[in-house]
Amino acid sequence: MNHLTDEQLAARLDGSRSPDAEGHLAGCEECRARLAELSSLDDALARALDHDPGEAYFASFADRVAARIAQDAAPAPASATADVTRRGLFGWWNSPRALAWAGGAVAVVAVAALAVVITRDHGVRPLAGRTAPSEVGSTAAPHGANELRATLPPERGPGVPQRPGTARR
Amino acid sequence: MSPAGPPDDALIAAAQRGDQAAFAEIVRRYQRAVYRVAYALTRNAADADDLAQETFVRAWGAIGRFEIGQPLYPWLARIGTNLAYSLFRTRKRRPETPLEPLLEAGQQWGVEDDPAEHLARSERDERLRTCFVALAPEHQAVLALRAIKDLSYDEIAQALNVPVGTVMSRLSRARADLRRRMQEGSGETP
Repeated sequence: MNHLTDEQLAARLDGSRSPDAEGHLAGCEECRARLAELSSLDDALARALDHDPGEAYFASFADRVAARIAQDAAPAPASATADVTRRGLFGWWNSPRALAWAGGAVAVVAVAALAVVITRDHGVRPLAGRTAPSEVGSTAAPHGANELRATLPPERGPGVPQRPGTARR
Repeated sequence: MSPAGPPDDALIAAAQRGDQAAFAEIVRRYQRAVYRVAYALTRNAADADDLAQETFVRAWGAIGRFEIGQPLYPWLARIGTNLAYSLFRTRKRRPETPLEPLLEAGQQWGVEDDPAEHLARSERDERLRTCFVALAPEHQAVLALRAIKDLSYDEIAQALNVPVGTVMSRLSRARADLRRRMQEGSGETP
């Protein structure tokens, strides 16, 4: 005996009636049991997926939707100035992104100031002949060496080692 | 749905002209149905609340494109279903299965009379939810919309934007998959 397929049983469950399926069900206990099982599963699923939040929830629902629509329709601040005005002068203090930008800017300024100080110190000594080029090269980092080279006059260029510690005369 | 008051088409036409009071009436008319869809898809009261509200917000934004004469509920269900899919994708996980329906089961389902029956039913429903969550999202959606019992095949097809034949085949596969998982979970042979 060919039993009804899952699809046929599901269709029967959803209200479809075909003479063949009805005839088979009338004489097949196994298919009736499967149909009953599917029906029971549907009922359990309907219970599990249903939830009533209560009348109070729905009494104010339309108002909440209206408020949300109004909020979405509210115009955005017209400019950065308006934004600053809205948040206050130190509003950026509460913004992680603004803080990150501020920290980055401070770091850049600090590095630039340090570079100027180092450049000034190391730029004076060789000119005064107090420090051997090899000594400069042995302590300066590669990037520092490039910066030093850039600050020296052209005739002093060969006095700065190409790589730290490699130039010996 | 056969509500008292102006017919849906009149309210929709008014809403399309920007009448917010008419749209509020539409919200009141369909809020329970839309919440039911939202809860069936998320099974979480907080998510369902958010989803139901957002469904109407999107509906307001798109009401101008709605074709008067078509049924409104499947259109709303479709917005809600798409939002739910979007929510699942954003979270990269399936909907939550909170305990609240289980805790409310006694009052809501009227099974507190027999503690043994209550326990057995609760355990079965809990297993059912676990198995349901493991289904493919499109199977969850079609079963959820069918379980609500408010929507016909045609309306489910409109809500999911698929042909009716696809709804039937998906329902069949989804039920079979759910049944198999339930049997595996209980140690029965499929």
